[in-house]
Amino acid sequence: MLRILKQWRDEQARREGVETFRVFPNAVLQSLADTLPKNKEEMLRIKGLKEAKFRKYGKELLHIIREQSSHQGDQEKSKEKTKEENINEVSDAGVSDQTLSVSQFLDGLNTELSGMASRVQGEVSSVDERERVIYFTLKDSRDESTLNCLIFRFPYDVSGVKLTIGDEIIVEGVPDIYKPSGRLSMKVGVIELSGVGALQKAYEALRLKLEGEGLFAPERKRVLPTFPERIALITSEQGAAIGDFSMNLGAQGFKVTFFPTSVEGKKAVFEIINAIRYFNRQKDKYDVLVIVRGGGSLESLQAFNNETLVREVAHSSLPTLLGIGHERDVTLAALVADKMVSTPTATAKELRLHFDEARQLVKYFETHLPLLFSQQLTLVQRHIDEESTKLLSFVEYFRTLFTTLHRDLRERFFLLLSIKEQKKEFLNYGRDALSKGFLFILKQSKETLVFQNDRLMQYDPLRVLRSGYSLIRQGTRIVKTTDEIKIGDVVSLQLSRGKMNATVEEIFEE
Amino acid sequence: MSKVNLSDSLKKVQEIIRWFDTEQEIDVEKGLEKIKEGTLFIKQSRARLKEIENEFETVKKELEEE
Repeated sequence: MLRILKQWRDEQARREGVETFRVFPNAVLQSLADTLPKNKEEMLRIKGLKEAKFRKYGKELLHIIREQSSHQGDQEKSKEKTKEENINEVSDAGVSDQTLSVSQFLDGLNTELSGMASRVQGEVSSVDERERVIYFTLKDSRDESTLNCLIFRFPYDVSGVKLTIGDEIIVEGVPDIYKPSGRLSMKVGVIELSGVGALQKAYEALRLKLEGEGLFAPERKRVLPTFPERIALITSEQGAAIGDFSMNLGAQGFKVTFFPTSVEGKKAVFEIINAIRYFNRQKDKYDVLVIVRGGGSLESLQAFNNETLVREVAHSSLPTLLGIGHERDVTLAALVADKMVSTPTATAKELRLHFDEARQLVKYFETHLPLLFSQQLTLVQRHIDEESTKLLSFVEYFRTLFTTLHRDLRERFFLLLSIKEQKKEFLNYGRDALSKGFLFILKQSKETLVFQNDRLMQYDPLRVLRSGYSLIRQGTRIVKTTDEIKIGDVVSLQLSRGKMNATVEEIFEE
Repeated sequence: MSKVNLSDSLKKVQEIIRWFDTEQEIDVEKGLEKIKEGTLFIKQSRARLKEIENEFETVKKELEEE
């Protein structure tokens, strides 16, 4: 019941071009679902549901509740009550014989009109764009009939249609009489361009505008995660797209969070934007945002060429992958996405692509890694063998070298020993020779000394003096001639034994 | 299932293979260690790449709007 009531509420809000809570907040719908009111009195007991709301929506709500209750069983009983309620409601609506004020009458009319939500096609004949509301008139080209329309700024902006006089458009809305002027207007919630030519023109204009802003630039594109695991999926519950996508994903252990939306018509714009925002509010929970839809004409893909939706995709915090089928022109939403493919099947394959590659890679690793190690071990083994051979040859070389050196040393040692013996003998010989030579020299010196002594003895003056001669000195000087002395000089006379002084008394010249 | 970063695991195995390919003189001890490490990453990757059914969860619109 709650789900049905919410569907009705959402559709009503969309038609009126207002936020859902302006029709009924969730709490009121919950109370309606819990209490299942059967008439006006029971309905007015619900908090938040006053007379004005009842006038506007009461009849329709009672009908929905009745219908659903009958589906859930107790159908006969419900029908009985319905008859009574219908009678009550008709009288509650108050448009019977009684006299009404203008206001009451217009309220009654508006209540009736609120159930006449319609889709109307016509040519725009005037536009008055104000800050919060856009007023415009639609003209029927066949008989010049005119319909006043108004749309609030938000749904107008979301619609992505720029109203221009002469354009053929389709509007969805609810007729309503503005009580101060008594003028009937269509309160529009949705505007669509009509005809392929107009759509193509709008598509081209928006494409150029977005291109000028750089929204299609390759440098804006983010690389999708190689192994996305948590997928945020937006598509319709109905249609082949969801089936194709799921079937081709394969069993990769993906965690797909699916947000079902319409994918065609203006309702789709609101719902897809809502879904994108929902996933972006929890961006840490997802790896990639995926939007898929099967192929279609430009007309059926209008939602994906809607400016607001395209910008929502372009500014998504989550990386985006779009798989929107198309006949001729790629949708603008796909052009601004980080990655686009042409079908839901291709989207699924894109997501699983790296998983398939990884499986092959793992298989390759499984065989290649041990093989590589085995090859390396063989290389190491060969290296060890080579090194061992080298080492052994070194050992052999050193062994030979050692043997040679040992022998050499031994020979040299014996040689040294023999040299030592020779030197020792030589030294002994030298010592003996020296000793002999020394004795000889000593003896010779001794003999020379004796000889010299003898010779010296021969020249000794004392020896002459002992022969009777004497030495005459005057002072220290020896007197050799008479010229050296004069009479009266005192001279000293040295004899062989003793000395004496004498005075010269007479000199005899020869 | 424990959280396996498939991308990291595969990269690490590739690094190990590159190590074997580029190393001029293989240290056998280190090589054995690398083999052990690589085998573990391969095992983890293989476990993650096993065919596991995808989980589908549908967002309840009404819950989202609350």
